[in-house]
Amino acid sequence: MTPLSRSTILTALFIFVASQVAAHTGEGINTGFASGFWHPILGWDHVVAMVAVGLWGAFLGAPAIWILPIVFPLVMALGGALGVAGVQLPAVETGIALSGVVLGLLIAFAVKAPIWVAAVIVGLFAIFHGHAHGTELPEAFSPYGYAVGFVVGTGLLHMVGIGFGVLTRSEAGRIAVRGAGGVIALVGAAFLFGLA
Amino acid sequence: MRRSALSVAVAGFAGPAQAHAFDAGADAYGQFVEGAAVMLTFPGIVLPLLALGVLLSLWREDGLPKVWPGFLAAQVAGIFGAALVGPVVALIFMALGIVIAAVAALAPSVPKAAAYAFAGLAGVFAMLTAFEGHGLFELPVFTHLGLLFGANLATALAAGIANLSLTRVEAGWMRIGWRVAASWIGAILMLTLAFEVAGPIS
Repeated sequence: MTPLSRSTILTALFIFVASQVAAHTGEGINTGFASGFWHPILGWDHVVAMVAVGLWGAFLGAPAIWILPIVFPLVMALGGALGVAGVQLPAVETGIALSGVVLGLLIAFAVKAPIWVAAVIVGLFAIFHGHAHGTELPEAFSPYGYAVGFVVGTGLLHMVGIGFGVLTRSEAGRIAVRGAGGVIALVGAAFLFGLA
Repeated sequence: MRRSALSVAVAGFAGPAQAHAFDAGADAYGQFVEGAAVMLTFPGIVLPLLALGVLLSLWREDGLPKVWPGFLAAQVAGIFGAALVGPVVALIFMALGIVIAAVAALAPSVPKAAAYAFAGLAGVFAMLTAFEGHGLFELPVFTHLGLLFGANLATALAAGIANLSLTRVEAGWMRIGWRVAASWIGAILMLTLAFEVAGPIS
């Protein structure tokens, strides 16, 4: 047995027999970060919209591939700030569900919108997503950790979308991405009509 | 709407912030560490400085060294002016940080005058915010030094890491990555500002 394979087996063994980590007690910023990080990831209505932003950006190519994921967090945080401040927005949940439908259809039909139009569409929906995160901030959690967590969680979902969007470089990949857009639109529609 | 208007009003007339009240360490080292820790651990102070560092390295390769003399002079000016301002200055500094982060994310190729202005304003407001209304040398000298060290360390770390990665990896995605990071800093700052204005949540 080579030293490399021996160390690999030992590493795997230690991982499986390791006891539960006790360093993080769930207090303060850790809990806030985890809560904020998982909030966009554990809600399918958020997930499909975030991934769609990255996918559509990749579909539109440069500069949209990086402008959309830059615009989204900034505007989303503005929506979050409105939510934290208690400013009411109409039809937030409808806006979130609609974001999946609209962005999914834009991808499915390979719509090549001008960059400013794309930024406005994405920014508009970002306000609804941010507002939901802002108003749903759990009490007793570190708000700063929550803020960091939910910005990072959202950003990572965009990156997942961009990663899949790279498939558009091949013809088969373009078809797969457009199909994914159709699925995103269907998931959004399910939330819009109360089926999910 | 009424609640947000009230929040802004309350923020405007708020009493002294207790977020990082100084309790002056026993020895010189403790005082120095306390000063540096205020700069490095309070999100409303460190995040604008990180945004400035990223902006300066995206602006040009020697961005921070170019503006550093003015940045330092602004910090000294901030120390002298700290007793003249109220706690609302902390909110203004966060708003300034959001602007700096947004510029770094959306249009980092700023004119020279804008880069100098951002560095100067950030230097002044970092000190105004960190001193929390304390007068000149009301705090121990080593706390002053710690605050200066912390402000420059945060900015230099952000600028240095961004600069190192941008010069080592010349691919376009690296620059985009730093612009995305700047947008994340701006977003976190915007929420931090909202939490400060809205008052204690937990």
